[in-house]
Amino acid sequence: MTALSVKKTACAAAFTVLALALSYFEGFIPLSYIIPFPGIKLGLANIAVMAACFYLGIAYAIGVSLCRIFIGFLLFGSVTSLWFSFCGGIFALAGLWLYTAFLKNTNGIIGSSVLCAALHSTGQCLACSAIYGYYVMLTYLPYLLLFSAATGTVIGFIVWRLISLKIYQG
Amino acid sequence: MKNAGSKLFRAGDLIICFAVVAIAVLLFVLPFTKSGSSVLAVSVGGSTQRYELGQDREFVLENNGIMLNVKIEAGEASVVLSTCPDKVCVRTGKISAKGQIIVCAPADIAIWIESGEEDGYDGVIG
Repeated sequence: MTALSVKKTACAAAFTVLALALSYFEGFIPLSYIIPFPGIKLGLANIAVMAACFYLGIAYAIGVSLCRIFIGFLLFGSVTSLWFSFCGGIFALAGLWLYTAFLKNTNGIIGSSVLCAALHSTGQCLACSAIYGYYVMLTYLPYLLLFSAATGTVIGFIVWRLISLKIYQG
Repeated sequence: MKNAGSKLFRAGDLIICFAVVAIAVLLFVLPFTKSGSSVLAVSVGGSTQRYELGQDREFVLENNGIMLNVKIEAGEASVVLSTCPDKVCVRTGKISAKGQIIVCAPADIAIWIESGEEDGYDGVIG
């Protein structure tokens, strides 16, 4: 990890804004009408976090994700939503770190995206369990995991397209 | 960490996808193997006995000259008949969640669910 670069920091800020805009935009997609299951979402904000990871590195991705969670909470969140998205975000970042540290040579972007989505679901389920009780993990998580395998693939493809564009050159 | 060498799909991704789906299926199956673990505790005059709540059965408890007919059916326990004039235990109805209790004070008999799933919350305000 090199020292903090101004160019990278500015780019990370842009990615944070992109992540916030995407998570706001996600609210307009009436996914719950198609799949009537609470808690299911596409995870569009993860596009920006993953792009930040591939363009700038994992350290900047962590910054982008944490800033997005906190600013998102200030703009349109509640205390419960901060707790939920923080738990999900930390788990997703752990997945991203796992990918950059160990799985980079054996796995592609779809793999890392599915891993992030699955861990994000697990993290949110754990956060949910702390409030509702641990049986939530057994009844709710399987559906979320199956769905995150699907959304992870879609998001992974979008991230791959975004990286192919080479919008940032260090 | 740069974009060099980052491919869309590699063989290892199949393993991740497969693992995620496998864990999901495993969690689907797991609750069914755990569902018989609720235990009904029966205390008659101070001595406690335990019964599996998953097994349907009917038995009679007797103490202080009062007879109670206890029934376990479909994971729920209830006192169906009592010779006690109060009938508080019969009117308590069926119990199935952890912590619920039926008491007959004149007979010094208590029946409660000792382990198993807790009763869920009515709601949580966000």
